[in-house]
Amino acid sequence: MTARLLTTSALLLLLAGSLTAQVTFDRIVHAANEPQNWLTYSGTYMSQRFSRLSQITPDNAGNLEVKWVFQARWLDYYQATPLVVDGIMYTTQGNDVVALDAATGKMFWIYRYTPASDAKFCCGRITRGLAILEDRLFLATVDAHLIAVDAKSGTPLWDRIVAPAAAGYSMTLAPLVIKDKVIVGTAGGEFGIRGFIAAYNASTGAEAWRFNTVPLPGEPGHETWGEGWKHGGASIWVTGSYDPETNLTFFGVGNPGPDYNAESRPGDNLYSCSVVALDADTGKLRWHYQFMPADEFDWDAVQVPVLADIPWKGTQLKAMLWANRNGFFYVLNRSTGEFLQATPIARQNWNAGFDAKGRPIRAAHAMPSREGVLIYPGNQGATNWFNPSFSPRTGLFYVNVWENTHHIFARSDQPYREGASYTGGRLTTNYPGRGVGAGMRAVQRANLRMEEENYGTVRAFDPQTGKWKWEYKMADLTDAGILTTASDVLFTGGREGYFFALDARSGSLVWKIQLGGPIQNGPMTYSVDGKQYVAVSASNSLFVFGLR
Amino acid sequence: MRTGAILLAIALAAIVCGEPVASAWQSTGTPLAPGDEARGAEIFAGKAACQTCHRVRDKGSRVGPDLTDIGANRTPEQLRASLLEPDTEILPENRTYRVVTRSGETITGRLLNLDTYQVLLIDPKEQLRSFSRADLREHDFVRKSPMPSYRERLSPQELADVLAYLAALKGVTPQ
Repeated sequence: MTARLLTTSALLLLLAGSLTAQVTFDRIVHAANEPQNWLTYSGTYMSQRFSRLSQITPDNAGNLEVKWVFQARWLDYYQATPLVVDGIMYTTQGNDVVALDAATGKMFWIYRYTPASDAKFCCGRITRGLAILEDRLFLATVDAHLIAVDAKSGTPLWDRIVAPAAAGYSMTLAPLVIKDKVIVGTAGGEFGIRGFIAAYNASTGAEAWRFNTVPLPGEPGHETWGEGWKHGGASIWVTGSYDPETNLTFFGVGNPGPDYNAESRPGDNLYSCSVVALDADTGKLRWHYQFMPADEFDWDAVQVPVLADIPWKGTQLKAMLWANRNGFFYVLNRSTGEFLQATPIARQNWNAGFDAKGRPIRAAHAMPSREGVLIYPGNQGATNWFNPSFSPRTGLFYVNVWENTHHIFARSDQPYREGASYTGGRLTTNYPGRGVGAGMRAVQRANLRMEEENYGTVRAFDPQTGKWKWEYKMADLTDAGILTTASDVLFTGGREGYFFALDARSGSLVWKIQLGGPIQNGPMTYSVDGKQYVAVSASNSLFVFGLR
Repeated sequence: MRTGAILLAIALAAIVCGEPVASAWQSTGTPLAPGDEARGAEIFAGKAACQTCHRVRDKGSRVGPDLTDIGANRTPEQLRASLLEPDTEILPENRTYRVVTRSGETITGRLLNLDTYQVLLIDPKEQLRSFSRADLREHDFVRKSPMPSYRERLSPQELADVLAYLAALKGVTPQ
């Protein structure tokens, strides 16, 4: 009897322990209330990359030191943002999944995944992270599989082929879990794919809904493509956001293909270069805003939508804040999609204003030709996929900007061939001694940039005015995301290999460390046993810092 | 083209039909006379004194760009242009940088790395030097190439010989 009671008690305890470790949808909705954890790619559904943790401050950041390092057995860039759940860190090693002790870095388990050999990658074999629901992790692979893995053991539970890798489809984003669904989107625009966002049942992997970012015949928006819809691109490169109040999920959509030649796709090319607001239960489109109709500059809306509740002209606004690759910082009404404001974040020469509905007016010269046209910013944009941050404390929107970039865009004819690059043009620069160069050189033997070349800078924008209050310049460009905290510390880095902390109020440097490789992911923070940690990757390793 | 290509730091001058060689080449594309590689090597090490700044394999100075594989990375036309007009094109890898420390010491050298916080260069004594930008009173690029013009220093045949030698420098080959 006693033995049976003990067994029952032990089972109940185990069950209780198991239940507390479960990551429910409700926990994710209220993720900001448990800042010791990092439950989604962007921290919360609002995607502000703002943490309520405050142990590390501008005054004591000088005492930060490396606590542990995870050296990924993977030679491509580490662009993933880890998840942390109750002391366990879940992250990726290429397309592998690992579970680590978040306080020490020791590995609990690893799930190994080898992508198909015929997978195509325009921009590296990149995986940006995981999603979690209950005790399941979700991985989107570069060969376009969506895989569920048991969070306690690393055992695969189901493996869904989302799209054919041989045709150029891939996935680079961290999935987004909403209610009982896992939402992903397909990349591969440089290979003439036709993008879509799709939701899968978290338990079974069965497809629940699909939204075509290049509408099929009969779907609204199909008329904006001509015959170009067949290989229209419109990739999904990064994770979306979610507003529980309206049950809308928001995703940024990539550029149309071929990238630099619109002759084969007459029209606006919906929903390329747009943000789409979808009903999270059905995938039905509620609204969209197109940043770049008929884009020919490769300016994907490859950003995570940042949701913020801000004062706006005497009232409170449920806003969407968006620094776009095209060089503008937008304020939208996230409930309706209404365009409210756009202001430049960097040098640009393509835009001659916006009409009353927010449609951009392209400057007369800003039309690629066979001979080529000089356009600011360059094809990599004034910012790119790396995440910005919004601090409700300062009211500022922080984004890493590429200032003064350009390319000479020239059209060329390029027939579509399955699985082959499909860009329809070429890029050059007028930097002396540089070829295509500029934005694409993430790693150099040494940093020898010219003063007339572009540079990276952290800019802190006031959404009310669209102007920046301060900036922190780097000598080189940056592919790093930004993290802000409740103690007004801002963490970011750059290609030079420095990871640094700024005072989020003033932009003054409070700490820096050289990590020996480009910072290419969004820093995140968590705590274990009351001790705050900050994690960031450099090259292919993950570094975790804490106070001495 | 490999971005690490090396800038040649030699100038060249000659007179062809009473016209400076440089302008003749640039305006008419007049070809050089055939050069002799062996004689070019002698001129390189001797009369032209190229090794004062440049190094080929294990001989010469490290102050200027290493020329061990210059013939593999620059075309004869580029070599010729560099010889004639050393200031016309200075590759980013080969720029000269000048720093002034807080104590007033001025150091000029070939820039090896420049980032947000540091300046790394090789100084005229072939020493690798590192400076924190915050500790410098002044720092900036030197716009003019330190390479002297050889326009009046070598004959057309000597120039052709040096060019033949440089074009043959293809780097260290596996044995």
